[in-house]
Amino acid sequence: MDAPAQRTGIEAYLIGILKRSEKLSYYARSRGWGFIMTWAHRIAGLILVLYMLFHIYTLSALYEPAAFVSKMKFVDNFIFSFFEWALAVPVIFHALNGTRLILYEAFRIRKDAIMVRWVFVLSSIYILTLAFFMLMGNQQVSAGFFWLMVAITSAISSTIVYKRLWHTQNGILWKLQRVSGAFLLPLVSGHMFFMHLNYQVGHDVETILARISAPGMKALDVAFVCLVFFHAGFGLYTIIGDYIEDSRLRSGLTVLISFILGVFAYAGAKIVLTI
Amino acid sequence: MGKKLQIDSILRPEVLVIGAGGAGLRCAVEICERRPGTSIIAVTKVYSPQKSHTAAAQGGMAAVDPKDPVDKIIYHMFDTWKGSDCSSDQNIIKKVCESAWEQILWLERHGMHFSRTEEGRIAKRPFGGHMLNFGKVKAFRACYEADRTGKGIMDTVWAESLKHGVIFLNQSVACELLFRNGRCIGAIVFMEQNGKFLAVLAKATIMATGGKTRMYQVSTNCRQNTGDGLALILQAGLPVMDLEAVQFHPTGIVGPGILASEALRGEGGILRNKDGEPFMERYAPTAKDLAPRDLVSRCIMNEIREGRGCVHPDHKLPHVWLDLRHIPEHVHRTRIQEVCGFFCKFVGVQPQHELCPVTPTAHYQMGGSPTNEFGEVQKDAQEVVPGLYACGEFAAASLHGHNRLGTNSLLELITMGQVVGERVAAYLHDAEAPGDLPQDAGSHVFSQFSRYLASRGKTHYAEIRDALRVLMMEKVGVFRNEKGLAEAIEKLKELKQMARHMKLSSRSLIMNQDLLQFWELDHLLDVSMVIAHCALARKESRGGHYREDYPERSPEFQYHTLAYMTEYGKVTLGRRPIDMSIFEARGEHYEKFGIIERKY
Amino acid sequence: MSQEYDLTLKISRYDPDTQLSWVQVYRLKAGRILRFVDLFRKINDEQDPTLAWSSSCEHGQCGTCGMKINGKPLLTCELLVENAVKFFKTQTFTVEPLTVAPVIRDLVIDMEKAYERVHFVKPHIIQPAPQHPDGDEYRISPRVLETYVEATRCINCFCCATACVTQKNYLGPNALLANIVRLMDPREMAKQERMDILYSDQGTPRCRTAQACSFVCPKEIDIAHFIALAKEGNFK
Ligand SMILES: Cc1cc2nc3c(=O)[nH]c(=O)nc-3n(C[C@H](O)[C@H](O)[C@H](O)COP(=O)(O)OP(=O)(O)OC[C@H]3O[C@@H](n4cnc5c(N)ncnc54)[C@H](O)[C@@H]3O)c2cc1C
Ligand code: HEM
Ligand code: HEM
Ligand code: SF4
Ligand code: F3S
Ligand code: FES
Repeated sequence: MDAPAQRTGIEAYLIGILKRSEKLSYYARSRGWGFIMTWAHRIAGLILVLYMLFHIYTLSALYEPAAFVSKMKFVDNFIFSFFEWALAVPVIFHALNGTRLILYEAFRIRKDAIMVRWVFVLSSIYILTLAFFMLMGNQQVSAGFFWLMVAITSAISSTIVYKRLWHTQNGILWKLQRVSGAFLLPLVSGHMFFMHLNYQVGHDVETILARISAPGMKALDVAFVCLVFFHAGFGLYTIIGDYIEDSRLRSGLTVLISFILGVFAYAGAKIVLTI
Repeated sequence: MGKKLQIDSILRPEVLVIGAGGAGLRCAVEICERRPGTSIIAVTKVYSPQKSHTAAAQGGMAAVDPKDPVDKIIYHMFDTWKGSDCSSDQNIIKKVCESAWEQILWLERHGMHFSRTEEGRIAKRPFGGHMLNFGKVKAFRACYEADRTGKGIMDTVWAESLKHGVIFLNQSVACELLFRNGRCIGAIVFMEQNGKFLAVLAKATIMATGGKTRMYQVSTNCRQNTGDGLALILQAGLPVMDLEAVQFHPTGIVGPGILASEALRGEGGILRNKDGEPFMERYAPTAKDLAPRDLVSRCIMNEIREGRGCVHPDHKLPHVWLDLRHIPEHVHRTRIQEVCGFFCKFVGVQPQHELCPVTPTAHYQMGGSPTNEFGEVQKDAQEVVPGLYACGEFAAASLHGHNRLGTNSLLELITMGQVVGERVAAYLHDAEAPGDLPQDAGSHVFSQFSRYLASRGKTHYAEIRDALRVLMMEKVGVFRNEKGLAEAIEKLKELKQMARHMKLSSRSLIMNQDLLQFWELDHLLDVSMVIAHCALARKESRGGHYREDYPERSPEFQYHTLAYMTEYGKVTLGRRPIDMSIFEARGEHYEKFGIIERKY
Repeated sequence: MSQEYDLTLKISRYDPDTQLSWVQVYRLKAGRILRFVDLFRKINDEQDPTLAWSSSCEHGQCGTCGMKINGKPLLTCELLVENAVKFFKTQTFTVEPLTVAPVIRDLVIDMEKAYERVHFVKPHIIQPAPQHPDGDEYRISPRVLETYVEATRCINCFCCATACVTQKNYLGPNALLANIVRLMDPREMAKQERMDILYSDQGTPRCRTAQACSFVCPKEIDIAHFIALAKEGNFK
């Protein structure tokens, strides 16, 4: 009875922060931290899906730079920048924890206590660095070089996962979920990072438009938007499957989700391609 | 009392298996393999067949590998004969020991996960009472699956029966056997989970309801082993055999009654009484703590009776101590970790630093429903009941006589299960359909249940249960004597009387534990009564049956006891001769199979 | 020497006749090493004989007595009062039935329903490998056995399935485990059939690697590891 409780050293690690919450320690004690991590992963994923819908909506204003500027004015305040910064929490947590899951499932890295610790340590570093840059502002980096590096890393990481998983008999979409995750890891964390290196320039419509018009960037952004929406769509699809037993309702919802996400993906791709 | 009890529906499979444990399911699978497509219904009292008590067996299953360079089947036969205190049937010994290896292979081929040797073959370990060269050196004869051999067997036969489409009625009890013109045609089954009675009419009925020692205060048996099967047999006017032969294991963990294996004493564990005295030195100066099971059990009980035992503060049970503190750390870690873990898990004791409370625990019932060598249930020493079969711990063929060797029971239930399956498959060939439901079907069980449902008494079920357990442990337990047994019989009558005025808390039929316990209590009392009578009649000591007033084995009692009881307390006794066919055949080594001494 | 605890048990109850459910509070004193099944028996004997609960072997070997104690699915025949108090840091316990199947009465669930998932994966060998030329046992190296022997210890107590994040449209950890055992068992030939079950919609895709199964398993089987082997597509 007492043995399994000791099995995860994670608990000991997270004591200070998380044990204060009654609900969390209830689940930690009855189901283990992995259970909580899974829920956190799911919630972060859902937040990201919502954010993506919002993101494409705001980006669509790029068709009329003036409107975009006025929109940006509207959000250019302390509260909103705080939210922007806070977004890094679900982003990086989901990204790193997703990586942990991929490593656990496909790469036999089953030292979970250590892996969880890394997720938290790296996430905190990322979030704090982001805050640092946001406060500093005015950092310079060569956009071309940065994105080239990100693109290469993404290609490499997704290829590794692809090689490892593609030959298995897992469902094809399931495998694609992992491959897209691996592709998104450098891309999303890099994207977020880049946009905050220089907070002001990150929201500057001229800079954005200039960047988008570069052909390499166009290609990367299209890949980005397609993979994100596929990943989000499949994520929602599996969540639905966990809760809805009626197969008609399930198919109905799947069609609905595919449609909505499809429209947004199309809109997103159109933005980068036609501007 | 608005509810009227009635038979809800009738099922008509070809075969009815009562008791889906290791034996029952091995038998079901055998029938299906020989006669694919046979429709079989298996009834089990537990929540799923996989939960049957066979799953709790740990040690292993004895079998002599014909390719083994040193071990021989004849040694196994001899050990069994000697172990039984010369009261098992030699035709059965021969049959079971000879087919043992085949059964192991059968299990292995059907997916059991035996532990393996370096060469990838089935591994074997030594076990108490199993020797080479007629009792000279330890034999490696017990095939095992780590410490969960029984579970391996249970999983295998259960999974195989699923494959063959056996239909299970879980959480259901067979509560009345049905007969027409002396032939068994099925049973009435009460389904606990929905409170309905079913009639199952079948060409052949197999009883394999397993152990029956829950009437003892401390017992390794599961909550469901309340002797229902035997009670049904008795109700039907059929005999039971050798019920006096109950095996006690000396070191059961106080409370749950879990076995603390002999290995602990083998590694140097010492039994101590209340005052810390290593008392085995007094009783057996040479063998000390490693004396045979029955002797050690008796010594422990003696200490307790003479006031040198302790009483467990939580479980309120008398016990002595098993001292493992002096055993070196590395032995604890490598060789007895598993068993010590039980103490930790079930009584919160750290055997390395604390004394462990142990007490003799009722473990196995050698006796049961008498069958011939094909598992056909006998009416008396000669005749069988058509359509009724029995195997497993429930039956007594008898392989164990008055004392069972470790690992022989799993062997018996698998072999006899197979034998019965073969027999039934042949019988089904030209057996007639059971016909319609007999007019009076259910009359017995309905009157029983109506009585329970109408009971308006004051006595609580637990009072009678506890009184019975203490009584059986003290008077019909490890030690027996004329006076105690006579007293026990009187007391049992009293308890039965009390049981008529119990307080029923709920009159629902669905999953009503209280109601079912009333029913079980009746059976416990019935079977206890027969045990006491059989024990009283056998004025000698043999195997698990020990009479203080007659401490020696006597040639006068060289037979099996048969007992009938149609009315509570009125037990009629009979005899069945012991088969000595190996001895009589005068083959090689036949002299070892005469009436020999059981000395280790 | 024996310490007594004042326990409060809040037990979920359900009466199938009236279809009412409620929580009943029992207060009792108990010694430190009584197990939870002993407590239920004590309640039956001293306070309320109508409380229905399930157990069989009471050896921790059959998996009948699984229940949720303060939310944690575990075997109640293995849980000592003392350990429970230490682990949950309280003397008040909620006792609920497992959630894998409908409740029949109080703490007793319809195991048969729960077992349907295990039946679905066919725990037997579907198609046995050809026999060894000698005609005796199939040879399995202890090294090979070692890779999956842990998984054979499952007693189908359904604690893992209760703890898992995924409750619907899922075969559940223990059923997957039963399937994986046979995939790893060299005596099974029908690997493809098993793979099809494994990777179906009700199979591995529903596992989110929450590892709650491994966390609660009373037999300490690392179920998540075995399911991950399946996802990895490499059973060695
Ligand atoms: C702790 C322990 C350790 C053991 N270790 C060993 C060992 O190492 N080696 C060895 O050889 N033997 C061992 N034994 C003995 C052996 O396990 C048993 O003798 C054997 O399992 C009995 O099997 P069975 O099939 O006859 O009965 P069981 O497996 O007990 O099955 C009986 C079945 O009948 C059902 N049933 C009972 N009553 C009714 C009813 N009225 N209606 C319907 N169904 C009913 C039950 O639900 C159950 O399904 C051990 C026993 C115990 C208790
Ligand atoms: C940044 C790199 C990312 C990685 C490595 C990653 C990885 C993963 C993985 C491995 C899963 C599967 C979890 C499981 O089934 O157990 C998953 C699920 C999911 N992801 Fe991502 N992901 C990333 C980014 C994103 C983004 C940007 C979004 C949103 C737009 C997103 C939304 C989701 C959703 C909704 C799920 C389903 C969650 C669930 O099943 O509970 N992910 N992710
Ligand atoms: C809050 C910080 C963020 C800012 C300021 C930001 C800003 C931008 C900008 C300006 C673009 C236009 C393309 C470019 O300039 O390269 C863009 C595109 C994009 N962003 Fe973000 N982003 C942020 C966070 C995110 C996050 C968290 C995600 C993923 C979950 C994301 C996903 C995308 C995608 C997929 C595109 C491509 C859109 C398209 O093709 O239409 N962004 N982002
Ligand atoms: S895997 Fe563990 S928790 Fe799950 S059913 Fe089996 S024994 Fe129980
Ligand atoms: S808890 Fe459930 S999600 Fe997977 S790892 Fe275990 S089955
Ligand atoms: S009752 Fe068998 S495991 Fe608890």
